[in-house]
Amino acid sequence: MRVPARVFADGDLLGAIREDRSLEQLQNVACLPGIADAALAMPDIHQGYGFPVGGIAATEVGDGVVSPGGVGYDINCGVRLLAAPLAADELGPRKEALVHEISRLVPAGSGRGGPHSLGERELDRVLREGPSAVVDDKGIGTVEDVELTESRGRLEGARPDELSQRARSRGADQLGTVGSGNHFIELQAVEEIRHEQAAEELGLRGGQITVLIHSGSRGLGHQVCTDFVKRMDAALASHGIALPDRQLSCAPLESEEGRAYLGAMAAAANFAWANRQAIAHGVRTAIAEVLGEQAAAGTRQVYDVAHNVVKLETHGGRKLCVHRKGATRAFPPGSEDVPERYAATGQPVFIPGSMGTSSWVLVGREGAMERSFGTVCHGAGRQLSRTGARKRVHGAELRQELESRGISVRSPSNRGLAEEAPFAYKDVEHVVGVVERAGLAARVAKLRPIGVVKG
Amino acid sequence: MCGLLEVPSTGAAATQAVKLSARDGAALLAEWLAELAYLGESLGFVPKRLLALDLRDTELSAEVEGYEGDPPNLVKGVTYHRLELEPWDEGWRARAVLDV
Repeated sequence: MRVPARVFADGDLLGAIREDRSLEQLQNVACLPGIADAALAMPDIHQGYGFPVGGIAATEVGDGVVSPGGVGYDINCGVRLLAAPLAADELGPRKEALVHEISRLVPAGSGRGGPHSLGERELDRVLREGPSAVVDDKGIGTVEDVELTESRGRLEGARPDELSQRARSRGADQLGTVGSGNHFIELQAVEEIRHEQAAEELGLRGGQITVLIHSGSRGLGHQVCTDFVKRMDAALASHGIALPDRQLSCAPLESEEGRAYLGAMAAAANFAWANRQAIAHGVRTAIAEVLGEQAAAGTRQVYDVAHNVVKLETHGGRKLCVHRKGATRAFPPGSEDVPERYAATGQPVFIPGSMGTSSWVLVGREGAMERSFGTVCHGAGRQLSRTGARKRVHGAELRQELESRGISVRSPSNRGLAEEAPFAYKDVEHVVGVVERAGLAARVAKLRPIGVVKG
Repeated sequence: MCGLLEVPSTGAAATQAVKLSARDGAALLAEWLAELAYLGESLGFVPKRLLALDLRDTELSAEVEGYEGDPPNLVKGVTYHRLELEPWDEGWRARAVLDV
């Protein structure tokens, strides 16, 4: 190890974390050339491919490396929160119709194509410009949505020409699709306000309907990661790099491979933001259909955050390449790159719980900049494998249990539903509590699920 | 030659030619599995049988017989995580972790 490995957790969470290989993986991350300060892990850390999920690694621009495994296969997997202008208890029987309409308009499931097939030029625009391209060219979403997206939905330096034809073909018909696994669209009610002033500034009030969207760059991003893991693995010896796990394959930031990956990753990240923009459009269309045009027009975006991405940032006067894999940026009040509307509040952060449990809205705090390169966790963190979850519950049984608790469920697969059972994840209250006690972020509002369209 | 997937054929018969190269044998194995997964997910070709194979240390070419359709279990990708290929007894032992 070149630097220490540091975990944000309490005793109970550490016990759960020790059950898988995530700590060993974190130690491997600490071996990356040019890694700064420490390899970090959030309290939702769990075993991943090479890098643990919930891990952060910042490398020095100059002699450090960039690693596709430190971003993950689903480049810019992230979360977007919408807030509708009515209360959950106004919904009545329309709730079921709304969940159904969302599931009808927004395709979910593996390999599914979507409603917005892109030609080559259109795809290039999306890869370069992100959601602005779909706002301008297709009238999908608003300029305000883009303003309220991390990095305004666009990483600079995107290089569509670095994407393989295979990556392009996998993405061309997937815009506006949720995907599978732990992706979802969740209809929620604001159950509790913890920080009145911040909630007001984010436009959230008790009982309000919100919609949380969790999705990423689909097959396009997946292929970019695959292509560059292979390419960098083949070039490791030429850069004099040896690694404990080939999935950590990396290249110096200034190398041909490093620059190419940053360009391709930025393009895939822009695609993911455009994807969530198109999904949000599908949600607003469903709201218009079921609740009326006025409700749809009043459904505003709170924010959109990435939790699988690498960014060039400045921390403590140093230029660093910050890898966040299953970890969310959480900048405090007054930070550059936080929308002006939230300048005094801090950057919004969304931490989904497991299916059937609550999610949290938080805002970034100065402690995150001091201790974690401006980063917090991204979710509750898996503690039981998908196979393990399927052995404990049948999807149909789980569906009934959720419905009996007033949560309407749409899922293309009972098997997929079982894999996302609540007991497969750590307790989100516990995880978020650690983040708050560590001074990284502050809780603002708790969101209770009332419907879910599962990927 | 040899079976790849034991599934009933439900669509029209088809064949695919595959040509791959990689840094070493283990990576070549990963690329081979990734190619089969890609054929299934993106081209709607379910591989059933290997008709011909020319295998060298770091490259292979093959002809694969299968049918048009959706594969029974979708594989999103093949990782290099804990990737291994080594001689074992009189054969080979391999590990590849799939993203599903």
